[in-house]
Amino acid sequence: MPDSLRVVKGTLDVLVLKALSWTPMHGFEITSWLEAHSGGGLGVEDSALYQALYRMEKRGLVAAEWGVTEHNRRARYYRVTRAGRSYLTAETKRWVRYAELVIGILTVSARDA
Amino acid sequence: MIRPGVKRQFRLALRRRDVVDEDIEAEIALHLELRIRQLEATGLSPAQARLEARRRFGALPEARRALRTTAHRREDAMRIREWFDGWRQDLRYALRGLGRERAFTAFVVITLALGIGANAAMFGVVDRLLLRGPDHVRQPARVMRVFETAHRAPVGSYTTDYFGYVTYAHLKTAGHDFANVAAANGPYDSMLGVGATATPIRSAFATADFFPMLGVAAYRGRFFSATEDKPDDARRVVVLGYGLWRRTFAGSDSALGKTIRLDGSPYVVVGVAPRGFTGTQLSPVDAWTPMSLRHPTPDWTTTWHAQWLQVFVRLKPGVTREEASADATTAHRSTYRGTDSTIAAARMFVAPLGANADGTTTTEAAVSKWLVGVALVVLLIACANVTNLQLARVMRRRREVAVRLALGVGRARLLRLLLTEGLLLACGGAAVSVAVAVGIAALVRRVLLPQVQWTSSPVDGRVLAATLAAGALAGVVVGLIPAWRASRANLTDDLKAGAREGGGRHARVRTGLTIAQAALSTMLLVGAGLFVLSVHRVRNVDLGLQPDRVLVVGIPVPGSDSRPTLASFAAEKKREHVLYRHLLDKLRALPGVADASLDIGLPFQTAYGVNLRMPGRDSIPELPGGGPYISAVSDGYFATMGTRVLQGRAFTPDDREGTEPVAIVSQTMARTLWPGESALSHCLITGDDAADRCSRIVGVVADVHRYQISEPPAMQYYVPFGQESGIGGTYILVRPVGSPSAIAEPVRRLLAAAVPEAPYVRTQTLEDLVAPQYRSFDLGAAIFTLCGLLALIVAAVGLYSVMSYLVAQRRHEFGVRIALGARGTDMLRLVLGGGLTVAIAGVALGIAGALAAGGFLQPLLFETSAQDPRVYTIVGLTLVVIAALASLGPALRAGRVDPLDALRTE
Repeated sequence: MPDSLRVVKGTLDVLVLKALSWTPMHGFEITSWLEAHSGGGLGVEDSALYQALYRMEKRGLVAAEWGVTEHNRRARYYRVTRAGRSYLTAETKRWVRYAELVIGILTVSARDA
Repeated sequence: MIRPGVKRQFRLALRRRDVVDEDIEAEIALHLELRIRQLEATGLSPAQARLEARRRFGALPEARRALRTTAHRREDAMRIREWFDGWRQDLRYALRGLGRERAFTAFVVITLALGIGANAAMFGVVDRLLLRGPDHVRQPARVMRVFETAHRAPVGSYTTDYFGYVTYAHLKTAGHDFANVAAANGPYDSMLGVGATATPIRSAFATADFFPMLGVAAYRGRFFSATEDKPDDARRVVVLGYGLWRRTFAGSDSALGKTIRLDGSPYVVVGVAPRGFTGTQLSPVDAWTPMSLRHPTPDWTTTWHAQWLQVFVRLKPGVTREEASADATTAHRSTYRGTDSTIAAARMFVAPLGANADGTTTTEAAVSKWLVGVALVVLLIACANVTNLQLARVMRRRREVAVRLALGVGRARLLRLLLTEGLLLACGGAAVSVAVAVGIAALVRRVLLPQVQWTSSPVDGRVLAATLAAGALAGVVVGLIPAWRASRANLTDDLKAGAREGGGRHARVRTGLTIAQAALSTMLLVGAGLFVLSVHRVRNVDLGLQPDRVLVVGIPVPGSDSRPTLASFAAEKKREHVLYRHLLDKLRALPGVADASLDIGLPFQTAYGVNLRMPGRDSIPELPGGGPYISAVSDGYFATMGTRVLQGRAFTPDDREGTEPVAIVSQTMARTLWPGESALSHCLITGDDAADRCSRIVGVVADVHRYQISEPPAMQYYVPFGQESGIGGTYILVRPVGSPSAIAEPVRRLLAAAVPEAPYVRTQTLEDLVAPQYRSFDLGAAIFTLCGLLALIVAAVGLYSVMSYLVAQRRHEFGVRIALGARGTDMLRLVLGGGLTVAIAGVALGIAGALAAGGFLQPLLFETSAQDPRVYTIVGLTLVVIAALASLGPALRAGRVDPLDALRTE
């Protein structure tokens, strides 16, 4: 993926929470979900995803439990906790505002300036 | 940290480290496998797919390490969280349990509150009297009071802490071990203001270096300086006490520079002392004045014959008490210029500020140490009792506990639950105890130690800390024993057992605890009995006068403030006598006054000694009590004081200046000087009478105490008011028909009107002068009795609960016995006997303990043996009777057991 973007530091957590906000998933499902929804545009090492998950589990933003996949494999399923949900809401708001600001500045036309 | 409110939804058993590591490996393996499968589906070869999957995952070893670290931390946090969650459950469970048994909980909480509260209150008292030292004194342990011990041949050695100015000055120059030397005295009764609005206050005097020595800074303005305290040129300046400043000046800075009238003289206010500053002692001081203003004789800077100062030193760093004492002795001996060989050879020593006038620990300090012990014993009894009740609860819950253990609840968990219950009860007790402590402390402060300046509230930070410590101790004690018993429970037995079986060993522990309670209660009550007996005896000491019937009136005669010269002295005195006789006549005519008299040399206030000779005798023997002491009294004195005239007559209005010199002697004086014969018609030459006129003895009166409730007998004699020489300071004594305090106001009004130029009239009852000496006995009696009764109630309830429990346990057995033909009264006797056995064992132990500890209490008792058999007998009998009453209820229940009912429950 030569044209993939580096993930801005700190955004991975929010992206993972967003992925999990639909349904509990195991690690590979999250990776696939992110790749599918970014069109493969996020250059994230898989290990970074797990580190994000573990970090958030420690902070209580996600909870994990062992479950079984549809192919009958033991897998660790992650689920957003209530704290994780409010964190996601807050971070999302922050990101959108930030992005609007940046876009607003970067797209100023010559006439306005 | 896990955020509050976030909980593990699925309570999995906590994972060990290796399990956590295995999980991580499994998770990574699954991820790689799924990735490889995904890549293979896009057409990559298995080898290519594996390579690409590894590449996408990133550096495996680093990832593994990072994940492990995070996971382990997470598990640790979870473990703590889990523990607290569990503990919260325990707490809820314990709260529910205690809530169900309200009577039990209330009783336990109140019992513990009394025990803990008594400790907190006593700690507050001891903290003030013993630990903290006077407020605002920097390093109070380094500040010492100076004492002198001299040995006088027939009398033995005596110790004093009163010195002349010379001793202070010489210690300052010749001492090497002292960082500072200062002198002070007081507080004394003083009058603030003049006329009808004059109010009594307490004033003290000190050298200017007193304040820097203590390390205290003025709250407003400044303390007076050495230039204001110059012996030859002292200024009338005053530093107000914080309380007086707030009362009279509403805490305004405008007080500085104002002039106030103190004992009739004007003083300029230069500063305000900080709140609670009392110098080197503990009672409140309203005003501080320079030492140089309050001198007793004209030659006060050089005389060795007058002692009116207490001397204080701050030891240099590293100097010990012994070194400082030796240094003071050397300094004293090398500088003494007086003529008294016993004083020249006297030994000086320094002792802490809390020491008595003779350098020993004060009685109040000694008593308060005992009170802490007593309070601790009450706490122990409370703990024993609560433990006892808790054990009964544990026994009732034995099945439940066994079921829990069988279901796999860890024993550690069970222990935690019971400890939680114990701590919960102790917390409740500690919370309620604050109220108890405030109550007890307020009582002790107001009633028993009113002379102490209390700056902190009854419950301050230190007292709360002590309360918490006592509470934690109680909680652990109360929780631990039942927890230990329960955790040793035998599962199968308890599961199989019905409600009645087992518990033999429990009963032994509980009986032991009850015996201990009874023993401790006995000891406390014996202590209470001994103190009550002391109070009774001290109150009934024949002082030779009736302090509760006499009002003492002081009125400064105008003009007496100026320094008398020898020439003006006689005329002045004559004028005074005329004035006082005039006032006496007016007072006697006042309605409600039974009798009145004039007096120089007041018992419990001032005692004078003058040269005394007897015709035909070289010397007068010295008695251990000192003396002979002289008083000059008007007619009516003995009737006013309530002193019995044993022989001859009292003074009449005709015994006065210019008439035949006469005297009246005390019984001890008569017996000492003229053993075996009548003292009447012998005579005494008093004072420095050049004419050697001999005063004929016309009467013998009962001995009167001079200073102390307990003091060795001394010789005393009386001369008519007007015939004295060399002594002065007249008091008017009034014996009212009714109460002395009720007559005070009319007396003040009458005298203020009669002598309008007098700045004030001061009245106090003679009782006020004596009362402080009763306080340590009152303190001991009150607290011992209070604690003893508390202990008795608690122990009685303890015994009742044990007996009730035993009866419930043995219901089946009693049923069988009755079924087999035993009568109900037999059962009653059996149970009652059991209760009495416990009580008697406890009483016996307690008496043994009291006898052993009594020796330490002996010095605090007043003419009472610590082994007084009456006290022991009464206490023992009381306890046995109470025990019988406590056992009676359970015993009656045992007698009424219905055999059918009891047997059917099996």
